[in-house]
Amino acid sequence: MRLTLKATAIGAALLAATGAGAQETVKLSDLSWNGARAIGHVLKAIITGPMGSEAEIVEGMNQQSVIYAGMDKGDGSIDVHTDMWMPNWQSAWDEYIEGNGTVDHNMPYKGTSNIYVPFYMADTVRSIEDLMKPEIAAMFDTDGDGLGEYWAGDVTWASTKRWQIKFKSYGLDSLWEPNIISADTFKAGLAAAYAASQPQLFYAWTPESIHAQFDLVKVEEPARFEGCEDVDLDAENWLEVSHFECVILDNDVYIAFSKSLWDRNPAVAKMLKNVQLTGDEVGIWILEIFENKRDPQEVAEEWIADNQDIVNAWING
Amino acid sequence: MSATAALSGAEPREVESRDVSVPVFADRNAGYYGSVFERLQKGELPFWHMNLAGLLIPWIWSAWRGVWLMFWVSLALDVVGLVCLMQNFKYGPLLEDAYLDPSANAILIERYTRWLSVYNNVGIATLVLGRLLIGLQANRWYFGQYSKWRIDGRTAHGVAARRVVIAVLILVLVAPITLYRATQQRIDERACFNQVRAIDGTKRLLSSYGVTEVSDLTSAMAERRDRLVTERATLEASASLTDDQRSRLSAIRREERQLRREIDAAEDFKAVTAKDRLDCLFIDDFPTLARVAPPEDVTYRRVPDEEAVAQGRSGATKVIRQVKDPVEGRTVNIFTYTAESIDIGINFLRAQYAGIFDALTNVLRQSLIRVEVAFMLTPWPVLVGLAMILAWAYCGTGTVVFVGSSLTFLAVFELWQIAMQTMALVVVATAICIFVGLPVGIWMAKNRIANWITEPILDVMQTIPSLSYLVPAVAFFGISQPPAVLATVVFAIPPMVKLTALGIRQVPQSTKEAALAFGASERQLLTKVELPMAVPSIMAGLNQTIMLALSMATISAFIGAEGLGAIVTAALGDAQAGKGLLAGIAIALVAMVIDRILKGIRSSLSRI
Repeated sequence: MRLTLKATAIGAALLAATGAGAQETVKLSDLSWNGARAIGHVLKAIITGPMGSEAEIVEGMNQQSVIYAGMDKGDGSIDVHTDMWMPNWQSAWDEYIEGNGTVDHNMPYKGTSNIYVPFYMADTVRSIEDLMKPEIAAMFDTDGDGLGEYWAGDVTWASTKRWQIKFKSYGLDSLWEPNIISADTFKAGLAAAYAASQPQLFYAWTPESIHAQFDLVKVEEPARFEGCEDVDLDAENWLEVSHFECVILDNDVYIAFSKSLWDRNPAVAKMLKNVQLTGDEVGIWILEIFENKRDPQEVAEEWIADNQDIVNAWING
Repeated sequence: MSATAALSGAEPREVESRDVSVPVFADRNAGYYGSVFERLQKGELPFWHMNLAGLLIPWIWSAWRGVWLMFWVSLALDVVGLVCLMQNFKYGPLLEDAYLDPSANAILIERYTRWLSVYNNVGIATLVLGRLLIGLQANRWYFGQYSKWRIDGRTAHGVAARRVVIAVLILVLVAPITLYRATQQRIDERACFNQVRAIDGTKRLLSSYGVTEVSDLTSAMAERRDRLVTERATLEASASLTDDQRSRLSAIRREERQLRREIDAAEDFKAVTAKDRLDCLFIDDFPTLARVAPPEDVTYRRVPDEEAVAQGRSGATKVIRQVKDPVEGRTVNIFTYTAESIDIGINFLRAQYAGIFDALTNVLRQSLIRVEVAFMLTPWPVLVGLAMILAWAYCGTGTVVFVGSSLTFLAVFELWQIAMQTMALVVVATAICIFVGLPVGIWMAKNRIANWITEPILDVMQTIPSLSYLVPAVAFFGISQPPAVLATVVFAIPPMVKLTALGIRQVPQSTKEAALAFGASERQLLTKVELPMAVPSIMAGLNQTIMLALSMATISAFIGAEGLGAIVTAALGDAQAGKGLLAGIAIALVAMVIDRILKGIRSSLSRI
């Protein structure tokens, strides 16, 4: 380990001296949700703009476990995960950041995860207690099996399991069942239900353009208390052994990148390490790109031009 | 020439007197072509015989004489050769740049030099060999045209200046722009986008500043910037600021930023040359041409109608229309405009006819639940046994073994319940396909106009990617099974319709006449003659429909349909090859079991 570290250090020094190999194209993830995409575009614009290096958003690179494994390998197939939600991906954190030490990260911004209903359901469903009423669950039943449906997330997301655990811990699993489909399909379904004022219960997070598109109201959950969250997503019987009966703590959202970038493109690695976003900033990008439907690169370039001090601080930090 | 001499036939005649058609065909230079054609017919023309005009001015000669095949071939050969040579203009400058620092760019120099020599060799070879080929072939093609003309007098013949004009027009249209394109590097992906942005933005600025010249605009903007800078300087200089002043200061900063962007846009606009515009029009995509304001951002929602409810009509609803403020300065291309209009249309239909869609969804769901219950509540040994009895009754022992082991595979791998969910979806979808497809197929066979209308629709249904109609299906029928059934029907119904129509059309005319002669009515003709005789074809269609419906199982999982497909999609997401393969094999086995049994039934039917 020590030897390899030394070797990489020498390699890095050599590369820095020649300046040739240090310009390797940085590969960014192409994740499906707004925040990850907006951050990806801004990072790409910083790398290709003021830094004068090369960056590419790898189209279709949206499977998170694949991205983490790729960053761990460090072969340049994928270098940056633009929006790592913690503690949802505790397993990846433990394996790659803590364990192998192959993945690096920056300072996080705050995101929130809650369960929502459209505003026209807000009087009916105020809190988790309301969800325990069978007549309310029946309103949300769309497939006629007597159980109400809620959208828990995409099949590959860690948060999907967390919501299933929470519904079980709240004692709702006899009345509700999760609908596990991709975010895009869910959004299409939500738009249709919203147009007809039909009930919908679903997981959503901030920052995300869904809140600008629809008028959504959060369902109140019990406050946090000692021992209210005990989750083991890796266990085979994760649903049975885990326990979670309070609101989700504000998420820390990181940019994760392969440590091999420190050798292959040290300037970009340094910038990524220094990046410090805020939820508001990300929210504004999301609004511009997804709600006002502006060109993502244009939005990113504009933000960089208006915030040169911040960007320079990241680059030169 | 006397009649007797002509009849004797054996004596040799002079070329001129033998064939008067060549002068009519060739018009000019008939003597030359007459002898050439004569020698060609006799097989005496040496292979090196060359038409000089064909060698030197092939396009003009061929157009003048109407040999269009030769015109196109020679044009293509020349353009290909010249395009190769044009690469000199494309890579030459790059090579020169590379030579500025030969040691650092050794790879580039090597690469460009190699490319250029290849392009030059190929280019020259194409030009020289191509022209030689055309010169050699010219008279042979011309003779071919002559032979065709002898049979069909409408074939182009003689010489015509009109054709030369057309040829020159084609040349002017094709050659310069193609050759110019060959000299140019590929334009940066964003260049044309930025150009459109600069032009649009400047146009807007011109109208908002009320000036017509860009120079006036830049000076007006510079003036405004100076004013802002002075105001900001005074504010920043003062020691203490009131709240108003502070907010004014931040407003100034914002305005300055906006202004700087606008100045940039105007500068970009000035930097756009005529060449840049030309490049974006002809070298890049065409559609950057047209930019229009986006459609009004409208959303429709069906909400409870409070007034009507107050009047005692409980459950009354109405559609409300909300318009969002347009994003300032946003222009879109025609593609985006149309796409957004379609979105708004779908939203309107969904809100307006919510009752109809919900009722339809409900019917689908109820029938699905019934079928699903039937499949899932029947114990698996019973179903396996029934399937095996069916196979035994209609097919051979081999099929019985195959059916039994396939279905046992499903049970052993604990895929039975999930497979039955898939089965329920397939059964309901197939039932709809039969109820809709059979009548449409009959109608298509009987009515030419119906055939003319349905044929293209069926072709579209068969070829349009199913993923592209999944989202509208979700928009109208929500998530999970019901939209999946409809998507499956769209995908699986064409063979049902087409093969039904084919089967009925194939009934021999004599058979139908015999039935009519015995006094059969239209209805009797259909039910007693045509349909029974079309059964094998219809069964083939049914078989195809079921196979297609099963193959849609995976796609349907994208919109939340449960079943074997959902396992495949989930396995794809988690990159679990084994799970995905097993579920895939299960789908294939279900399909093959149904296929084998149906085939058995079909052949036993056609034996009757």
